[in-house]
Amino acid sequence: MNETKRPPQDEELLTPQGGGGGTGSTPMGLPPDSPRGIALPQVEPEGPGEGPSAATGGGEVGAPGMPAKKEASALRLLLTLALSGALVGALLVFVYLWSQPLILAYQAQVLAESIQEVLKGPDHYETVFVYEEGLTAELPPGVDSTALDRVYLGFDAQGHPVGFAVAGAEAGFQDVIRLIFGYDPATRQVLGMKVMDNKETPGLGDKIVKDSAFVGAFGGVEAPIVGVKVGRSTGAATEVDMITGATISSRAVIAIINHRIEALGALLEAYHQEHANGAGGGPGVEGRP
Amino acid sequence: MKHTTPQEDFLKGIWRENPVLVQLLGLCPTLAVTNSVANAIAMAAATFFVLVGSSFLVSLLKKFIPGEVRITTYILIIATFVTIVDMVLQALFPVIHKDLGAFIALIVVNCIILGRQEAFAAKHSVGRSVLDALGNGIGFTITLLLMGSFREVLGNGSFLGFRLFGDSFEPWVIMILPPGGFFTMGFILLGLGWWRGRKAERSEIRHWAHSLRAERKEGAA
Repeated sequence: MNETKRPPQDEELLTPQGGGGGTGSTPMGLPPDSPRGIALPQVEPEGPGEGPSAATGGGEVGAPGMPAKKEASALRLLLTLALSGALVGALLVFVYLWSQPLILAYQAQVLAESIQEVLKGPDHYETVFVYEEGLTAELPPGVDSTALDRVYLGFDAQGHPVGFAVAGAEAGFQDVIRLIFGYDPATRQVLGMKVMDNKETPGLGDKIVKDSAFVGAFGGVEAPIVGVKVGRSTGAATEVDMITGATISSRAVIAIINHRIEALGALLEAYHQEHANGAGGGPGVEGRP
Repeated sequence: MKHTTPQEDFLKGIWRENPVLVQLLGLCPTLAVTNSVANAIAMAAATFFVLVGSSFLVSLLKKFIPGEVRITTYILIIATFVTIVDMVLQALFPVIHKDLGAFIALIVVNCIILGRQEAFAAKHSVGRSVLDALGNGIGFTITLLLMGSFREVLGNGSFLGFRLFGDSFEPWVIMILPPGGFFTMGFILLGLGWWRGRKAERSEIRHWAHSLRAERKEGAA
C-alpha cells in the first residue's frame, strides 16, 4: 500500500515546484492579453521569452525529480538516511569531545570568579559538602559528590574563615533565578550577591543584575533581609531597597537568600565556629550581637 | 527557471530579494534576538555559517540524495551545522551563547536556510549555491543589524554596549522588549514600502513625461 501511495505524493510535491510556475503563467498570461489588439505586440516578445525559460525550468527540475521517476528503492532511502545519520553523528562526537572540556572549564571559572566576588576576595576557599545533616569538607570515600548540596568557605591570608559562598535558585518572574551570595555566620551579614543566571525581562527584571545600587545593597545587610520599596526605608540594617518596576524579581532574590540562610544558617554557624577556633582560636564570634 | 549570472545569484539576496525585508522569511529570530547589536551580530554570524555550510553540502551531495528523503537529509545537514555552531559558541563565546539561548538551536527550523536548500542549492552547482547563500546571509545580517541598532539605541541608549546619551536619556524600555521588535519591523517595512512606492511612482511619471515629450515631438514634426 505504501509503495503505491508514495509516487503520487512525490509528483504532487514536485509538479507545483517545478513546472507549476511556468505552466501557470502561460495560460494565465496569454488569454487576457491576446484579445487586446494593441497590447499584443508588447506581450508577444514576452511570451516566447517566458516559454523557453519555463521549458528549461521543467527540464532542470527533472534532475532532482529523476530519482523520483526512477523510484528509488526503500533500501536506498534507508541507506542514505542511515549513512548520513551515522556520518554526522560521528562528526558531532568529535566536536563534543573538543568543546566539552572548554565548556566545563568556563563554568568552573565563572563559579570561582563569583565566589571571589561575593566573599570580597578571599585568599583561598574550600568546598564544603552538606552531608548527612552536617557540613564536611572531606566526604567518606565512595560517596558521589555530584548530587550533594555544597557551600564554599573562604579564608583570609591568615587562614581565618571569612564567610561562606552559598548558591541558591528559585523562581523569579519568568524563570528560575540562580545566584550566589557570601554570608558570614558570625555577624549574620550577607557579604555580597551575584546573580549567575536569569531570564528576567530585559530592561526591567534584569536590573537585579545591572542595577549596581541594588546589587551593592547586599554587601553588609543583615539576614533575614527585608525588601522595602524605595523611599520607605527606615534605615534598619536588614533592609534592602527593591527596584521600582522589578518588584517580583527583587523579592525573589531576597527570598532565595533568606531561604538558604534559614535552611543552612545553623549548620554554617556551627562549622564556622569550629573552624575559626581550629584555625588558631580566632575570635570568630566577636561581632555577634 | 531564469538563467542568472553568478553576480546576480550573489546580489539578489542582499537587497532585491532580501530574505527578511522582501520575502519575510526568518522573522522569528529577527524579532526575538535583535534587542542588542551584539546579539544581532552573533545570531547573524551563526545563521550565516549554517546557511553557507548547508548550501555547500546540499549542492555537493544533491545527486546522491533521493528525492523522497531530500527534506529529511537537508534538515539533518542543517541540524549538524547548527549543533556545531551551538557547541563552538558555548565553548568559545559562552556569554553570547547565554544571551541567545534557545534561538541558536532554533536556527534548524529557520525558513531562510531550508528555503535556500530547496529552492536553490538542490538545483545549482556548488559555486552558485555558495554565492546564493553568501548573498542571502549578508541580506539577513544587514536586516538584523538594522533591527538591533534601532532597538538598542532607543531601548537602552547604547550601541554595542557604549552609552550614547547622557543620564537625562530615559530609555524606551519597550523597544528591547518583544513589542519593540514588532514595532521596529513594522516601521522598517513601512518605510521600505513607502520608498518602493515612491520609486515606482517616479518611474511612472518619468515614463509618462517621456511619452508626452515624444508625442509632442511627433506633433511638431
